[in-house]
Amino acid sequence: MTDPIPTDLLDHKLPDWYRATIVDVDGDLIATRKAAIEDLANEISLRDAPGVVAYAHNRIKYGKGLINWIREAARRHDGAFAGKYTELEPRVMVACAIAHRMASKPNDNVSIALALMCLSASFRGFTSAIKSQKLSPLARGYLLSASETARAGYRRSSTTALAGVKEKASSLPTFSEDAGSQPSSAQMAEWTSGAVAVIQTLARRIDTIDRGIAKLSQATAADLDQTGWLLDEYCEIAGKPWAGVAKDAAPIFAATELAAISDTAGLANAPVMLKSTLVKAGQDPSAKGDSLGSVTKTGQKLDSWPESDGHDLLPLLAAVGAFRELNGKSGWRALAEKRRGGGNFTSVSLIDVAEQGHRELLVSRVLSHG
Amino acid sequence: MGDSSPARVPASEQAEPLEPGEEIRQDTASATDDPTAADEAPFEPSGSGKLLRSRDLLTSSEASASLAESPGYVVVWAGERKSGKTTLTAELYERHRQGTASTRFVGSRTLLGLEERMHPARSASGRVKPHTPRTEQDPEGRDILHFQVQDGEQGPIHLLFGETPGEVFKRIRDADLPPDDVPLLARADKLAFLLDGEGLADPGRRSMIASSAQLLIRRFRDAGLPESRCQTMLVVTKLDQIEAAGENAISYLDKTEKRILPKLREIDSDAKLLRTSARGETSSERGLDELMSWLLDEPAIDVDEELPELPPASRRLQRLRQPKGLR
Amino acid sequence: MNIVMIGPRSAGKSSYAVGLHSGLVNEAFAGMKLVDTLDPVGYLNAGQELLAQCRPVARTNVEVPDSVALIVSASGAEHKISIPDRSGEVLRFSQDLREWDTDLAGDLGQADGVLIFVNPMAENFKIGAPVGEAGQQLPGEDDDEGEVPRPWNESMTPSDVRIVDALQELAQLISRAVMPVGFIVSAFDELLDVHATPGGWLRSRLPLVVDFLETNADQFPSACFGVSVQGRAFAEGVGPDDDEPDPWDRAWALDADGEHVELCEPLAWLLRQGAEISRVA
Repeated sequence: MTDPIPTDLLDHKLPDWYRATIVDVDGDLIATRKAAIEDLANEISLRDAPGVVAYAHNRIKYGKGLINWIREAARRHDGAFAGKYTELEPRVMVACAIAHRMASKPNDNVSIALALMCLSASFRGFTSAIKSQKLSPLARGYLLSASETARAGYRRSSTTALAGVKEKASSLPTFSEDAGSQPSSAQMAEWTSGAVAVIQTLARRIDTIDRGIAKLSQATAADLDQTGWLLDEYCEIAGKPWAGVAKDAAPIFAATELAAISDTAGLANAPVMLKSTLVKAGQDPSAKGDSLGSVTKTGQKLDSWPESDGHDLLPLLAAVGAFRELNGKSGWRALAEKRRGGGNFTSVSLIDVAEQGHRELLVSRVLSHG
Repeated sequence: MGDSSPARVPASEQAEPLEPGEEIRQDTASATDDPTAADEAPFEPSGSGKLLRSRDLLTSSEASASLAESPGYVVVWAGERKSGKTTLTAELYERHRQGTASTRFVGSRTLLGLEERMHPARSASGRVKPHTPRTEQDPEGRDILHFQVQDGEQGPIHLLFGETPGEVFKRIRDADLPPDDVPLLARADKLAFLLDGEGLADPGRRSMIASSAQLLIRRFRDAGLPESRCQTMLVVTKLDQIEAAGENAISYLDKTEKRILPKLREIDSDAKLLRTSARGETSSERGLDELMSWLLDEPAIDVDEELPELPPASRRLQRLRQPKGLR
Repeated sequence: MNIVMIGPRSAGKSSYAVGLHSGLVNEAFAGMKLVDTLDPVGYLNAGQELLAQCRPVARTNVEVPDSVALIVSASGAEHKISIPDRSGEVLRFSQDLREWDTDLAGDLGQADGVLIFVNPMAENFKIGAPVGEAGQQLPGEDDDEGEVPRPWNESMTPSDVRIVDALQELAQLISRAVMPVGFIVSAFDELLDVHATPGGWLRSRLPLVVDFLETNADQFPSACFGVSVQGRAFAEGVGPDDDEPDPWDRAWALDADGEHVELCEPLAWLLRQGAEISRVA
């Protein structure tokens, strides 16, 4: 099992992470900042998650919409806080808050969204505002752990239902067997209450089984779907065998099909499954990939991709959106680059493009729940 | 660069009598740069209560405001009295005023503090030889000088110079004060141990200078300082005085460096050596460009661990989806 | 638009105000026209009279600061310009006492642009030479014990540091994100023998100021000018020649690269900067 992120991560790492923005690492100031960071971590909303991660990775423009929230949290503990969104400290605080959120709320849509966006930031070649911090390993570890927890399946209870019922029943009052005695209202009420408690014990056990079965069933169904997909030689979207799919098209088609049958439980296996499919398509997953080239080859067949105005951390969605808007005509690449905040992609491989595509589709789904 | 010549006083400086009907008001103050001149018009500014920054140095908390804004480094010169600590800071600043720095000056939160420390090296102080005032412990913990510079196209960097009195380092040397009791020493991003060139040039003092430096380094090492990401350097100050003292002094310096640098490299394998001269008889300075380069050099930082491995598949179905060759 | 002129005593602020006004009144500028005058300008006219007689403009009295409000047209638009002409003492004492004068703080708080004046020929222009420069005759003891015959106080701050200090403190005082700064080197006719361009002079004599303005250009976009309101040095007691040009024709200005520009160009530059800032906002 992957170890979950330790819940006391912030306690251990804060002096190191905050060092670059503070002179007295042992003083009162850092204690107030820790409290503020904990508040921020608790308050990150699903809607703000992309901007929060982008800002933590030095995409400063996203700070404009976040700075009031950051200031409010900081000023609860230090009324003199005066950080501006262009400054370093607010970004550092947010980077700490992201890590703390993933550590402290392990089964949480916001944490999943944050983790996926951190990996997107890594794809873009962005680095944390904290030089000694890399959020992508934390994010990957978080998703692995979340995936395993989701896949854990139904576990039998340590006690039987019978034992639970017997325990509750043992506290039911008994009545005298004398012919002339009648139980009082109070005695009847106590007995009734006890009987209801026994029934509730049974009901809770049934609900637990119900949930467990549903979860197991869902996980099994997903497993089967994914296994079936893995074994299938045919690419539904392309309408042809994987072996006949163009090199640049394979990563995005693979990502799209897998995302449609992915859930949290499947996150851990996605990289390997995507790699396997690229191999099926006759490609070397580590060969050089071209994100915009992939969109060119696939853009006409990506109706399932959601609409997007673009975001620095969702470059493929931005590219697909631009391709659609201009119908693949001249200028769509420039529009795509503008919508993803400019800058060149770092050198990426086919598997990087596939994983990023899969990630962006999953995060869009998670964000749409917000 | 000297003061502008006062030879020609512009006519506009001379007070003019009023012509009849003329509305211009006559200036009653005479032109002088002596601020205490008795014939200056008395002036009572209507204070607004809005204060300008004073000559005070910064506390740790105030200095943190600079780092909160943008990247910077805490710099500590470790050396006893007269080793040249404040002179180094003041001269690194002054070079920007003289136009001889390789970096550009962005600003300072302790501008007047720097000016006060440079003053005894200026002719306006009335001194014949340049001098730097002795650093005293500030009771309010105001012990940080600041200025910000920019090098080429890189972003601006704050430099926060600890003004720790030489007496503190003497106490550390004498094992009378643990170095980790001085917060700034533990926090330093750049730590330079100073070898006083003037002392090394004096046969009666040089052995103590060398010995003190070794002891100081040992005290730091025993206290587990500096932190791993702190960069260290052995800096020889007042090189001009060593050179002026002759071959024996230079030879002693060579020997001392060879003895001390390895000790410093026991705590920082990348520790560097630099010889400097901030002021000389010919006002030539050496080593300050290199010193500034080192101050601005971004230290290598240990970054968090690499991506975690995928867990081994525990069920047959999962193994099917993780073909061996692709794990 | 509110423009504040700052600089020490004798830096040329009043002279520039006189030269600017006389040029506007007499339509000497192609790039700027006077539309209306909103404040009494008696002292500016009196200053023009002095210039016509080849006499320098006297300094503003410290106790009664003047302010001039004009409406000018430039760059196709009309602009109301308010120029308080505060005595150099006001800024100097604010800096020495480390407390803003109320009126000056008020002016700067409302300002849309600043003109900084410096006169290298003035006695109060100080560079802060190091000890021991060749040719210096220095008083004082040779005291290895560290005696400082003249201990430091704020009034000893050199001119370049004063300018940087003023700008740094201005940044703390104002709420604007951007404040354009026009830097005027007065009496530039006296410097032409040695420095061909105002930019060259600034870089040579005030490198700290150049560094500060360039590295803080986002907040303080700047331009440098060399100005001579008199047009030439006046000899004492010598009046105008028969063919003496009018004061507004005699005055001249150079941009940073030494190209001739109109005397109103520092103001025109500030107006263009103000328009650009408004457009971006």
